[in-house]
Amino acid sequence: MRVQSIFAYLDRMDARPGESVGVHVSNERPDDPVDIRLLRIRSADSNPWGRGVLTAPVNAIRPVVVKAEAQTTNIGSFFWHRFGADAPAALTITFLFQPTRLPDIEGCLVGLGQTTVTQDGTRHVAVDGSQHERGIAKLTWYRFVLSFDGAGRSAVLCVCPAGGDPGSPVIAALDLPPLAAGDLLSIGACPLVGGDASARPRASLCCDGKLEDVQIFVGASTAADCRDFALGRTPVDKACYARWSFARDFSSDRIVSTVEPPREAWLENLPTRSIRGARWDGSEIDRRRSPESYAAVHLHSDDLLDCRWPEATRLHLPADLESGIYAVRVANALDADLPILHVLPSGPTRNRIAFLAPTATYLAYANFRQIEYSPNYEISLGPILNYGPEDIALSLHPEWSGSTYHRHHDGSPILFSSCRRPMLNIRPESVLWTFTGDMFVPDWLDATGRTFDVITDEALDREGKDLLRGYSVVLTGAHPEYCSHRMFDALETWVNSGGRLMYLGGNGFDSSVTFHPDIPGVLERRWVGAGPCIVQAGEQIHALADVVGGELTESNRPRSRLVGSMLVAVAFDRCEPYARAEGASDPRAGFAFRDLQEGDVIGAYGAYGGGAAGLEIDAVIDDAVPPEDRIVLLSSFDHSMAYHASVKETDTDTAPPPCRSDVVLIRRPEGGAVFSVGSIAWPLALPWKGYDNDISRMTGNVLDRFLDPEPLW
Amino acid sequence: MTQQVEGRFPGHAPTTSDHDCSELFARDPFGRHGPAVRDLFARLSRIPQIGQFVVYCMEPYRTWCPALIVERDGQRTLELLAGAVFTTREEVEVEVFRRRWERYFGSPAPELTAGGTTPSRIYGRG
Repeated sequence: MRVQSIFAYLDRMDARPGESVGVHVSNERPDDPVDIRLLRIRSADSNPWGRGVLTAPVNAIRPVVVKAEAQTTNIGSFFWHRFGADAPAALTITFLFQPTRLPDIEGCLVGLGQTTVTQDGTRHVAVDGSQHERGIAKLTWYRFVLSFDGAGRSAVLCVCPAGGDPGSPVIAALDLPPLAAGDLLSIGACPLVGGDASARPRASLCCDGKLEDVQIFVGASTAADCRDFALGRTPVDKACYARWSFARDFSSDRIVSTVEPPREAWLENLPTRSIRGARWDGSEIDRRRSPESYAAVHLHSDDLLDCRWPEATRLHLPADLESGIYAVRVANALDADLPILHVLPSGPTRNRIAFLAPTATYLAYANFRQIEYSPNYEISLGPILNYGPEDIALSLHPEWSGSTYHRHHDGSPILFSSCRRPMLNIRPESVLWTFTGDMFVPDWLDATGRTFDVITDEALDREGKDLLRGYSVVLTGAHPEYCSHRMFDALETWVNSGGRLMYLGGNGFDSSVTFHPDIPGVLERRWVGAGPCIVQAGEQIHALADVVGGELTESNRPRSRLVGSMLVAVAFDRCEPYARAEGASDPRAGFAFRDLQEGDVIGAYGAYGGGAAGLEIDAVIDDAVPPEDRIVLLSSFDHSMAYHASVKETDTDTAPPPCRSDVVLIRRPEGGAVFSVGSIAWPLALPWKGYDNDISRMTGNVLDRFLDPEPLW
Repeated sequence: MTQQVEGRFPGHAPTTSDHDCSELFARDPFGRHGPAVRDLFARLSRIPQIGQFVVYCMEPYRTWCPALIVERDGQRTLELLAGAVFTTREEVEVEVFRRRWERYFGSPAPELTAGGTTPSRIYGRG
């Protein structure tokens, strides 16, 4: 089978008119010119009732044709420092390291100028080929002491379990030039340095393990000195050149020495911070209270922040470009890739309606590698797993990393996701529970003649409730599962002061994420307590911000307080319709039922499995929104066994939660309101019969009513 | 280098109930089935992933084919069995079910005809 031959990514997920976006391309047919153009995406799904995948050219930006070659991606994180003119001729390096995986082939633990300390798959450590007599094992902290003489003639390496017997150091004879200005010290990789000596190095031969307490002393050490270092004693004649601690500035890739002068070191490819270090003893589980217990950084041989492909072109967005969802079409003679760009409104708000694109959820699921899941996953979802072209492409490109639902090579969970890599499931005609499914909402707005702005999770996190000012109604996508504390607080404040939210999906506002404070399109997510990739005890605090990971409920932001319902079930076999609930006869909600035609059963259709209720469904199971402030309009029924089997019970339940989706209308203070459908499949039903159906009509009725500033009741 | 797992799983022989269940399953692959059908489905699912048959969506809503999970150069990937292309999700579901049966039991699967299709119940990419 032929596989897609061109891939691309953008350097951000959203931009405002007037800003520019870098386009990065890998073209496996380098003789083909590459055509790059901006398209407006109106619809992203080819269901037989809708408008098909509908794109429109953007004439304000001229297509460009460039040459582009196939690119490689250097994965793996590492620590590095570039020596300046005051590089010591002779020096001693010491650090703690805990291997978390022994490499399949040789990995580089330390690179210093042209010397390397390597680790092989048989546990041996060697300095330039001279093997240390002691092997190293996984999950044990070791103290490494490495000394180089000023003449480049010999090195002394001492490796021992932290606090243990150092044994006999290995002494290696070298024949290398002395250390010079511009040389690098790296730990965890043997970095590649290109022609530009000032550029950041690229990863090569990376290792998996935790690193802590990196220090450099001026002057070479004897074997006896090295033993002293290994035992935690600093020889009196040694001046400290630099000491780097990872116990502060947890979101930063720049590490500044704690001894003067403040020499810089760097972490490449976003290794994991805010993890248990060598001094963690279990007495403290919050790194905010004991940062020294979390002074380690976890280097992974498959970490990836940025593919670092050359910029093929830079798109300058015109100042009057309409807010919307766009794709940058990048095509060679055979194939095209369509990375997605959300264009935010410029200047004063132009529309009263905004679509909130769930870019946090896109990042959390980016490159979801279903093929790596076990049979249990299929059994829990119901039907036989189905795959598509992106699954094959992803399997051929393991270097593009997985989603936050996967693990690193060493078995630890992937906690970060970056847009600076091809995200193959965030494309038109992909799975319906992410971008393709979300697009049913703007598609419906467009098809029913409503104009709207597009805003994103990341912009909401960045700008808070100010981003929502001026909008009467904000609509979500089908699956806005991930939400930062700042996003949740902004939405809650907004709906409690007159804003109106239409939550048109399922399993929304479930779990906490944090966006990178400095790098667009980068997100952290930590599973806590339960899930496929949970973090270890004591590692629930994010690195990118001082917030607790896991479900938002754990940080006193239960989604039911915002949208009235909680997730109750997940399955993928079939979807079901709704029946009118008791609240359907409440005259205060009469507007929602205006002109409905389908009788008692509503929504027995949809783009997945024949119903508007399904995939992931929410129900009203608590009184976070008081009963007097909510009306349940519809409830789904007759869900399959796969849904029932997925219903989670909790210790506090007096009875198992119901297995249904509830459509709820909620009154908030100052005229605010929420319409909550609690089903990923709801928007997937909107295009049935050319958008002429009761799901579409009820959604339109509520939107029209929400645009009327009169309080609901 | 492609690794494939072939053949029957020792000790597994289909019972009369398994045959009955396969017909029930085929009549409506997304239907409401009892414990015996779900049990058979789970047994056919819970076999090593390398060599497992799955559904591949060639064009959403339109064409599907069976695919095989294989391992190449240490990575799991899919080998498409594109000679068998189906135009409903139910049909491909039954075809994959048949192939799983043959792998699990090491004996020919019963003749099965997919039912359960209705115009309102379509399947995009799930």
